[in-house]
Amino acid sequence: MKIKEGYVLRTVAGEHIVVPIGNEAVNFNGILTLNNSGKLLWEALIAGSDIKGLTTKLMEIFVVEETVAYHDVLAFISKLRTHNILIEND
Amino acid sequence: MKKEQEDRLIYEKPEVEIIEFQL
Repeated sequence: MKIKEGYVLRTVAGEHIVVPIGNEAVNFNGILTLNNSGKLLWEALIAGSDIKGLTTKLMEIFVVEETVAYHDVLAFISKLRTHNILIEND
Repeated sequence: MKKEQEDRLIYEKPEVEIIEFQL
């Protein structure tokens, strides 16, 4: 899965902000904010990843157990899916 | 293995806040 084209991540005054551009600005009328670990997952999803890859990524950077990271990744992904921001692989 | 543990950061749950503009 990966983030749809048309979302730009910028860090402004220490805040990680995602803004839709082009057609996505019409489809998604708003902005997103991320914390540091959310930014890590977002950047991994720009390149494309899966649940396992994202879980591993969290465990590489942070001191966290796999089950905790896994469930947190699921919650994060679920929120993006709800707003139709992800492209799912077939 | 211990060094690897020390190099990692204190965990923060990944959060995304979605702010939708109203018409």
